Amino acid sequence: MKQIVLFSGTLTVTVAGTAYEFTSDPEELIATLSITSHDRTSANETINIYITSSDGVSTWDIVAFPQIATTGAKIYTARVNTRLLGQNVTTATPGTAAVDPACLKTDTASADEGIKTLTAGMVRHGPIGNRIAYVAACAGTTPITVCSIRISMR
Amino acid sequence: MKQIALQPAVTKLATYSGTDYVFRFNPKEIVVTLDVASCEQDDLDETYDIYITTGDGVSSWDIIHFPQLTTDAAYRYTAGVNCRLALQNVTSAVPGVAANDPATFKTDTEGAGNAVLTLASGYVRHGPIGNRIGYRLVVAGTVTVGIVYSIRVSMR
Repeated sequence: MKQIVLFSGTLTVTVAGTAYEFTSDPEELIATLSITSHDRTSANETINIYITSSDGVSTWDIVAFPQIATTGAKIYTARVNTRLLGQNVTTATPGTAAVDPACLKTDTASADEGIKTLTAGMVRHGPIGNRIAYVAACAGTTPITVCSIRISMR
Repeated sequence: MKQIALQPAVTKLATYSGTDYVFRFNPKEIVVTLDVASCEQDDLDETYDIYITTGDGVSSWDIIHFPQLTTDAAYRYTAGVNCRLALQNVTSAVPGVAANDPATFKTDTEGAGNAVLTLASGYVRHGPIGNRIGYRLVVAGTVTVGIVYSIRVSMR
């Protein structure tokens, strides 16, 4: 299983990370978000971290980790299976699956199925592109989040 | 993941059949992105439908029908086709609705049965594909400027 560190450091502003281009054709991805600390000095700081996939033209979310809105260390792991029918699954217990729209409309971020549209806690299974990246959306007075994102693929 | 430009950026004013690309390996998963820079709508009657097709050299059928374009704007749609799944079609509703495909396709007559130009707008068809991939553009209405678009296919 190949592993990469997609990000490691401190996030203070909304940012889109550099895409990693696969050197193999993975059919299964495991994304782990490890939060070391998250500032809540003003009690309004939040961060949403999305894992995105792209074919170089179009980009879409495949993981939206649960929103971080409390201090303290946390680890979340999400699994994406490309062999499944395109579908999204919630983080409820048990998770609720729904079939994805067949054609993802990705021209506009934060609209339709563009990036930053997958609901917090959801994972999207099904076909992925030839690259993977992250988008961090920071909000609040002094958002400071120390974290890392590891991707494992096979 | 291998990628090809099934259609590099181009302007078309009329219905068109793209040249088939013959696979050099056996992909199990295909991702197709339609990138539309603009599509004329000055007479308010223009429509544009783009179908992604596959075939075995004798028979051809649709695997993707992107949502019909009826408004002048930039659009980007991505659809994935999984060849390992049971034969089924999925809508572009939210959530999508899946239904089994007919086990046998009748493909002898274009626009009829299960031949090319029959998959409903916004649908994707999963399941086995042939040894080639192509596309059709269907243009209707009073077109003088046309549509500017490109199509990328990624496969693994």
